[in-house]
Amino acid sequence: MDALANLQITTNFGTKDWIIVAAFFVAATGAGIWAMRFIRDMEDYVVAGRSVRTYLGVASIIATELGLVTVMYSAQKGFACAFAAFAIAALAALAGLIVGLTGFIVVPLRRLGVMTIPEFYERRFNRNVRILGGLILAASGILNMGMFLKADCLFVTSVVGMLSDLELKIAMTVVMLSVLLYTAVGGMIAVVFTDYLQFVVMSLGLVVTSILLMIHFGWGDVVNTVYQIKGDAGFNPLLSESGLGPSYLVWMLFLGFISSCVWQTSVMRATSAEDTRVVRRTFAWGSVGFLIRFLIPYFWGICALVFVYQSPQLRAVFLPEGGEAPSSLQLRAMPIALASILPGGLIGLLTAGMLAAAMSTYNTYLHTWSAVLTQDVIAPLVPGGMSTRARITCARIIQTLIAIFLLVWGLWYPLAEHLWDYMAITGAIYFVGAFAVLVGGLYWRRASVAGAYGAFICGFLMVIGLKPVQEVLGIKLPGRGEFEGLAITVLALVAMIVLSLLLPDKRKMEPGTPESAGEDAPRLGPGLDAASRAG
Amino acid sequence: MTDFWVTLWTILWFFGLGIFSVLSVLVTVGGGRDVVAMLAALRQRHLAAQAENGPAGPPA
Repeated sequence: MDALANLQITTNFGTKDWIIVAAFFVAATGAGIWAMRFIRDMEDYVVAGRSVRTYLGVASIIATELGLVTVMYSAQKGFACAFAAFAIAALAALAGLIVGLTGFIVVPLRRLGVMTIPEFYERRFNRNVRILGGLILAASGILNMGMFLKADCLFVTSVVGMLSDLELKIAMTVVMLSVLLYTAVGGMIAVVFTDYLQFVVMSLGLVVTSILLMIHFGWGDVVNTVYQIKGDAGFNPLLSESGLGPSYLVWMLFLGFISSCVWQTSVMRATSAEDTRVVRRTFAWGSVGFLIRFLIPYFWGICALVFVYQSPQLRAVFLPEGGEAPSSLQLRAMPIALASILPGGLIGLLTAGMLAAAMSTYNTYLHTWSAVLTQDVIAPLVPGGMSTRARITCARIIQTLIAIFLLVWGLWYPLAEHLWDYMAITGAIYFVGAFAVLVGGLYWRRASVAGAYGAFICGFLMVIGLKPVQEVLGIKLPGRGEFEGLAITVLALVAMIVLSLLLPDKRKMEPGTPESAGEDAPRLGPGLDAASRAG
Repeated sequence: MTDFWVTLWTILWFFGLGIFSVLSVLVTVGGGRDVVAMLAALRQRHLAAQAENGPAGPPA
C-alpha cells in the first residue's frame, strides 16, 4: 500500500460508474430478499427444492466458480507467470470435462439424494465420521475463504482510486453486510436466482473487457513484450523458471479434478440438480467455465504485466530487480491497469460485474459452510434432532460469524504466497482426505470407519504448506505446495487402504451383505443401496 | 519450441473466449427460462403440500 502512495495513478472511474454499481447492488440485494418467499422447508433452503435445470445449473456453477477472488488470484498468476499460466486453465478444463463425462463421484452422490458430502459420510460410515468430516470441511473452507474479502476489496478500491487502509476496511464491511443480508434470508434459491442475474452482468463485462484489452495492446505486441520480459519461461510451463514446472502441473491437474468433484460448493450443484443426466451435462458444460474462469483473468494479468512494464514508475514498484513484488502489491497490478485503460461507463459495468461475481461466490460459500456446520456437525449432536426453523436460524447465526471472521482474517493474515497457492493449500486441508474417503466410500466396499479417520487426519497435515505455519515450525519447504499436496494425497489413500484392511467394519463381514454376495455397490444400508442402483 | 507454445496458447485463448461468448448467450436465454420453471415448480410443490397437509407458512 505504502509503495503506491507516491505514485501518480489515474483512474477513469467516475460518477456514472458509481451510479451503475449502486443500481446493480440495489437490484441484486432486492432479488435475494424477494426470493425468500419461496422458502418453505430445509430442502428448499439448502438445495433449492432439487429443481435446478441445466442452463441455470451452468450459470450458477460458472458464476460461483468465477468469483472476483478467482479473477484476482488468476490475474496475479498471469502477472507472475505470463502465458505459461494458461496450462493451469487447460488442465482445470480437462479435469472438469472428465468429471462431467464419467460422472465420477458426483453422479453417485446425486443418486443417493444427500444434501452435503458429510451426510454421505454418515450413511456410508457412521455419525462420528460425518461430524469429523464436516468439521474439517468447514474449517478448511472457511480458511480458504479467509482471503476472499480482502482480495475482492483490493480490486474495488484500486479501480476507484481508493488506496488507503481505512477505505479498504470500509469497503470490506459494506460488501460483507450486503451479501450477508440476502444470503441469510434467501438460502439456495436466492443463491441460484442471483447467480443467474450475476452471470448475465459478469459474462458481458468479461467478454467486452477482454476484447478491448486485445484492441488496446494488440495480441502480437502482448506476445512480443512478454518474450522481452521473460523469454521462453513466459510461455513454456514445463520450465521451472516459469514459476510452474512438471510437478506443479501434476498438482494443478489433481486440483482441477478434485475441485470439480469433491469441493462442497461444486458438489452442491450436483446435489441440487433435477436428475443425474443434468448433473453430467452441468459438469461437462461447466468445464468451459473451469477453462475460462482462469483464462480470461490470466490474460488480464498478462496485460497488466505489459502495462506495468511500459511505465517506468510502475515497473520500479511491481517488477523490482532480483525478485518478485510482495503478493498483496501484485494483486493491485491488474485493477490499476484496467482503471487506466478502460473508458468511463465500461469500468463501472465491469466493477458491477466483478462485484456480482464476488457476491455470487460469497453467498454460495456462506450458504455452503453454514449448511455443512448446521446439518453435519451441530444437528447430529442435538438430542432429539433440530426443527427446520432451528436449523435455518442456526445457519444464519453461523453465516454472521463467518462474515466477522472474514473481516478479521482478511486484515490480519500476512499473505506470503501467491493468492492462488494459498487457496490451493487451504482447500487441500480438506479435500486431500475427502478424496480418499469419497473414492473409498463410493467405489470400494471394504472401506472402513478407521480408514476414513486416517485419511482425514492425513489430509489435515496440508496445513504445513502455508508459509506462516512453516515459519512457526522453523522449516522451509520447496515449491508452492505441490510436493506436500501430492505426497499427502498418496499418504491419505494409503491410510484409507491400510487401516480399512487392518481394522474393517464388523458389519461388513456379516453373511448376506453385498460384499459376501460379491456385489460391487457400496454398502450403505438397504434403502440407500436401492436408491443408488435405481438412479 | 517457444513457437509451439505461442501457437497453442493463441488457439486456446481464441477458442476459450469464443466458446464462452456463445455459451454466455445460450445460458442467458436458457437460464431465464429455467428460473421461471424453477419458481413455478417450487410454487406447485408448495401448493401440493398444502393440499395434503393444510396451509403452512414460512419456517422463519
